[in-house]
Amino acid sequence: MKKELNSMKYIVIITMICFFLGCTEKEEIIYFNDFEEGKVKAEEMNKNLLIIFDLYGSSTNYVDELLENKEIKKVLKSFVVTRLMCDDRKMKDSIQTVGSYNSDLQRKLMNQYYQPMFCIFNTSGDKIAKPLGYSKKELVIDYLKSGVPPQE
Amino acid sequence: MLLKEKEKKTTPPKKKGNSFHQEEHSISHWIPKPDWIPSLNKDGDIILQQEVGDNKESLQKFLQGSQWESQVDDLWNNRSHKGGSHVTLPESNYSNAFNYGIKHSEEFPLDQRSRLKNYNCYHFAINGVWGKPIYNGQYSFGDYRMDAESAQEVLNKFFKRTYSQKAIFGETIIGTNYSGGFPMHFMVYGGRDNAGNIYVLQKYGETDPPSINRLIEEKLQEYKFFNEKGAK
Repeated sequence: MKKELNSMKYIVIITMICFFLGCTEKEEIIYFNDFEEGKVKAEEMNKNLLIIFDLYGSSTNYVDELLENKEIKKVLKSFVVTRLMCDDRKMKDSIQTVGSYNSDLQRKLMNQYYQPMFCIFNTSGDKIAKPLGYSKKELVIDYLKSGVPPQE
Repeated sequence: MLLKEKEKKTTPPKKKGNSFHQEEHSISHWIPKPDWIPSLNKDGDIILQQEVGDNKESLQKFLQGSQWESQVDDLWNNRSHKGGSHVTLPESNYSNAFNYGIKHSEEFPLDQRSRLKNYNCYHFAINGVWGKPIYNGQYSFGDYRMDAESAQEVLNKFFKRTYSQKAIFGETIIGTNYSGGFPMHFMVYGGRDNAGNIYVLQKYGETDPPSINRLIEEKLQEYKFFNEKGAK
């Protein structure tokens, strides 16, 4: 009887730990690779939209490494993140590739064309900061934090 | 076609200044003249296709300052007329890299989402212009996935900015896609054709094999040309 009670105790403790861990698990980062989808989601969630114009043909794994960084991941949770590849060879429709569509979009939205480029838009679709190019991790974190509303 | 383009000769715009900044926006301005078009044969050798009006002198000019400069006589005398008149450049660090890319396509899957990675553009361009092995089963100078800062450092230390008109076939690095002040892509100058199109030798991304392409100029991008310090 005492043995059974002990095992029950363990089960309860383990269940409680699991429940606690479950509760503290942080919000997921929301990623998109389509501008319109990201924009709609950002509006729906009342979050700012971070757009990253990037290339598959990038010479380094710079953006991948940034997005895997713990500190950056923490800040990214305040955004809807949309990563747009400007050299994606997949067809968007019968006329153009996803890459050429994203490239046109970058030229139109930013009037600049280079990758990587980070830019933050509010829920109304207005740019709220100047775009940021290839920079040290610390600068990217500062830039992202500048786009996090104060209540967060 | 080439003849037609040649007939469309126009007077080139007069140069107003002499700054790199102005030059960056005028790399298309080119006095039409006979030139050669670089490409690859099935073995990865670099071939130069003869255009209308091309002769030994234009070949000499095209290869001036390059590792093939002294071989112009032989190249001209041994030119082939099969599939259009052309000369085949002898084996080089570039042709070895092109050849490897063609023969080992499994290492260069072209699939943009592939996790299989290879050497990058910085490695290709820097080793290329230095005449070192790029990739022939083994790498040589530096990190084969050199980062942007290190690539910029090599430029600062060993190269100097030049005008596109002073670019040398196989010897001039072109830095482009400047983001945060760093060139995100390096290419090697591969000459201009009759119509003024620039050709480049490059390794695009990590999954593509090295290739020779016509440069599609992007108006909103900078193109900076660099010759090795001491180059003519």
